[in-house]
Amino acid sequence: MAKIIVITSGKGGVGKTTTSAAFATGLAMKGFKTVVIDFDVGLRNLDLVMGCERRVVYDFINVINGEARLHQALIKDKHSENLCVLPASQTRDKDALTKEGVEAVLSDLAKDFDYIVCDSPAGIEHGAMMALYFADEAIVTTNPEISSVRDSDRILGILQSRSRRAENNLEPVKEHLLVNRYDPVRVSKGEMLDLEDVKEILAIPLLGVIPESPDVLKASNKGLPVIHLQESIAGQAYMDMVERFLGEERPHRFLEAPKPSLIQRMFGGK
Amino acid sequence: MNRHDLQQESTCFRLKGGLVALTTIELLNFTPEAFQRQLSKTIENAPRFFEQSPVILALEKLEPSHQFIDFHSLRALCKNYGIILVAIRGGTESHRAVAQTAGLAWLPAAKVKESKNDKITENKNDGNVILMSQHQLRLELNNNAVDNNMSEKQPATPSVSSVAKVITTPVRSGQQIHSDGDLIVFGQVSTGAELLAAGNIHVYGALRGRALAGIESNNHARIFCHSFEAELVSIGGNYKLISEQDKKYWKKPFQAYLVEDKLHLEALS
Ligand SMILES: Nc1ncnc2c1ncn2[C@@H]1O[C@H](COP(=O)(O)OP(=O)(O)OP(=O)(O)O)[C@@H](O)[C@H]1O
Ligand SMILES: [Mg+2]
Repeated sequence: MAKIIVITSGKGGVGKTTTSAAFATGLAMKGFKTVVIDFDVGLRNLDLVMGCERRVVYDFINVINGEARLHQALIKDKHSENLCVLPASQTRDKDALTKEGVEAVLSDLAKDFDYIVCDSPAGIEHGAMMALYFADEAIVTTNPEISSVRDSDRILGILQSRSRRAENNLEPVKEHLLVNRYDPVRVSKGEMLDLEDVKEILAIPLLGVIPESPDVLKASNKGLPVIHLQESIAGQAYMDMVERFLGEERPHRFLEAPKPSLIQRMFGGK
Repeated sequence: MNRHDLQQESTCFRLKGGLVALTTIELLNFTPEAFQRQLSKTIENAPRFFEQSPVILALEKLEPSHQFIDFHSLRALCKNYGIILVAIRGGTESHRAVAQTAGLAWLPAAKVKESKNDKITENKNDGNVILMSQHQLRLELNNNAVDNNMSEKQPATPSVSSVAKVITTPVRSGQQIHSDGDLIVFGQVSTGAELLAAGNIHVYGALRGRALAGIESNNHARIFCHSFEAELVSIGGNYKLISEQDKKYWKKPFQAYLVEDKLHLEALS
């Protein structure tokens, strides 16, 4: 049975799409057949981050409306053969995402894939509800700041009361915390919440901490999920997170500010 | 001096949000005769139950066949019994239209699932005004059942159910939990979450949201928590917004209770 995983947050711009692309790519690199779906109807950008925007012909809504077959809309990733992207529509109205339609597409995908990763739009409106409704697991993406943490708390409440699993009294949606854009220097200055604070407020298991890194933007400008950049600390942190998700033990890295090197110290740099 | 006058002139009132407890009459079935019959019986048994209190008429459970209700007459009827009907909740477009001409406000249908009492419901009231149904009174048309119910309900003041509701999951921002008796939470209560209990509230975790105990004017109710980080505590309608001065209890085991209608906060050592 395919596992459905939603990447959600409540607040916008915290890194859901970046994480969806990296996480789905990582699962595919580990040999799992993976599809990543953009639920952000009208604001699609997963295809940009995945570097397949020019190959979008049909989209998720076309499939729901029966205007295209699923295999016509799925885009094969150019780097990993186990990975496909189902893009969102740029033009359609969000209400086209009906519960029945989404369910039909998901159950079709479940026949061919091991993991279905759903990139949720921001907020708690219809699109976000559809993205989380069928989830088995949720990766709640948060930045270390109070408004983002508060919104994630809200999303956790919704996951446990309004998802399919909650409504049918099934085993609850499994929760994972992903702290993104963690900047140890700013944390030590008190400009950002400490990791411990975030963990205490949300009280769910920590899956990963992704450091703030300019590589993320560089990678997405190239249409390459950052997990491909093995020398990047963000790429490494995403690979750790994927391996942890698959059950391996990985210590959390990049939590401390890098120590100034001997040369920097000698020359009185920072 | 002039300035003072001017200020007095310009601040005739202020707009404020607040918490209001309201009794809800939930209609299950309706004919004017039956309604009056049950109402008069209810009041016979509990003469001080309503006492000129504002009441909401909930229509969510009403059979769909009851399209037309004359809210004008209903309002007058209620008034005769010392009930001030202020609003209807839920119902159809035509209910809403008739209610409007009768001078009643309209509130959106409550989305509380029946029989899933223990489930946490999403709090749809994100604004300042939160209405909670206080003593819910079911008007059932099965008269025998009513008689039995009412004889149990002899005491004029609403009694607190002795059954505690136990919640084993965290209560998250935007969620609201209501208990007719005590409320026990084994987990944290997030900022932006709300606990409402007719009885005591116990939180075996961090209480970061709002806790309102004794909401049916039970002044003996108490609030206990493992780590006090609350936004607001209230007992029997006497509430306190937590401010800087209360930070001395911060993150400590804590209780709150009333001493002569004054809220008393205390760290438990
Ligand atoms: N770890 C990081 N370091 C630096 N920049 C990052 C990091 N993660 C994300 N960003 C940047 O933050 C911005 C928002 O990221 P992204 O689009 O993934 O967020 P989102 O949650 O999907 O947004 P939306 O809510 O609009 O869908 C992008 O410009 C991205 O490059
Ligand atoms: Mg996005």
